Amino acid sequence: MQSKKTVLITGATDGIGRALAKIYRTRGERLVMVGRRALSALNDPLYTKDTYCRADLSQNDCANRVCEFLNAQKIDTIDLAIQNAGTGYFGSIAEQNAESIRDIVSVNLLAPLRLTHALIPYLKKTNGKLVLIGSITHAFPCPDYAVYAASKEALNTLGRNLQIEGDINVQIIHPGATRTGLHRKIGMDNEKTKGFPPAERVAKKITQAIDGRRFIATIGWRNAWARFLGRYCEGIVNAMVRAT
Amino acid sequence: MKHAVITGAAAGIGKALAHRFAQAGHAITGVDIDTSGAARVERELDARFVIADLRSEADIARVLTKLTQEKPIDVLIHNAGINAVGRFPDIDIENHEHVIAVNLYAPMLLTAALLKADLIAKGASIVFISSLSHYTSYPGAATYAATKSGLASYARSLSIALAPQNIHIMTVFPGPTRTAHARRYSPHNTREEKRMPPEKLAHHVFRGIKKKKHLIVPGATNRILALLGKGCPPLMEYAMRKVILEKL
Repeated sequence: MQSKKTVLITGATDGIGRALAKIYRTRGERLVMVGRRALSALNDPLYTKDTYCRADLSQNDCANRVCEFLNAQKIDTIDLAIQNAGTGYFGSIAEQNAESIRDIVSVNLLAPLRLTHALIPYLKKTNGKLVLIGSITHAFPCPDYAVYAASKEALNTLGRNLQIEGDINVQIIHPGATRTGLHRKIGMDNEKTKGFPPAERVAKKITQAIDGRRFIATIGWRNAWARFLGRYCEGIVNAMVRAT
Repeated sequence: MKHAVITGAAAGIGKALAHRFAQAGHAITGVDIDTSGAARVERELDARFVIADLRSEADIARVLTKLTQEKPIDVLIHNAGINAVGRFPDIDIENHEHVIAVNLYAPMLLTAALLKADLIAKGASIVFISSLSHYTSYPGAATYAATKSGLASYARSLSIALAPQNIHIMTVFPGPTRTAHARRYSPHNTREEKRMPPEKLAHHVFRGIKKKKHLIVPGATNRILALLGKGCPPLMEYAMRKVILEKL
């Protein structure tokens, strides 16, 4: 019988992170779920004081919070760390204030950087895997969410170079648009988001990608094609985005 | 008289850019942390400096206040950059954070605030100094590479967002350049003369702005490396591992 694996997931209280947590709970793994909200506000038996770590990933000390929780739970190894938490902004570049830019850079880029740095010793003991959840937007020009796309492109490049350095196993997974709370939060048109696939379906495909061996995986064949075009036919894609 | 604002203008590529644009008749505002280097450039040409540490948001706010008192900007060059080399776990987390702050966060904050304050003139150019690492990878400087690719992505989005306002965006991907910055962070400096002189790079940037280019990879060798990196990533990654990472 295989022993229980320890799976850490950030951004685990909503959307893809929550769906991932449910899948790994069904598999019987030991969960460490990281989220910003208070445990009392979550109202779901999925989250308990032994599995839920409250940490605000926009804060400088977020990695310390997570490590304190791991210590308190006497967890000294991690088999799988999924850095899924992300935030965004939708609107014109000139309208975006400093707080919003800071929030996106902190949550989408600095937090993964800090957590990766802090979790490497835990992952090395099990020869575990670090998963960075990116976004296909990293391969596109995104005039309405430039900072978000830039943070995801930076994350992709960070992951790629960590793979080459080879100290730990790193996988980058790029989902496409998904129906989650993020779009509502950032005020993106709700009619458009109705056509997006639900978080549960995307999470299932993400776990399949994690079980697989690809260094960089894109969720869904349409997204994979779109990402390929965005990267290799820059001029054409730019012209298409400009026209819309 | 046109107004050029250049970050990191007290040395290296920034200094060469300041010289090139001053030569073309631009008034120069430099931003740098290095007081003595800035004073030297101020003596050499018609330039004024704002001394600021771009790791600090308070300093960035001060730069913005200063720029509000000046003429609108015709050329804005985000050139300031720092690096932290070594294997990712061996570098202190504070150093990783500083690289993100200076190389990526500061340019995005400055750009958004300057646009909001309407300080970018019609027909202006905003230039982002990225790096060839965007194409080739850069093991041994993972965070640096991340910021430079992030910058390229940001510029790409910006070029579409600001096209209706007639603001031109250009991203520059320089390869190894003969600067103190490169000497500090390279594993070996035996072939320093092979690196591109900053003056030559500055001229490429100047010409690129004239021609309203969107992307430039200066130098034929660098262009070949960029193509190889894009067309066959494993090959360049292998080479970068041998040439950089294993020599650190």
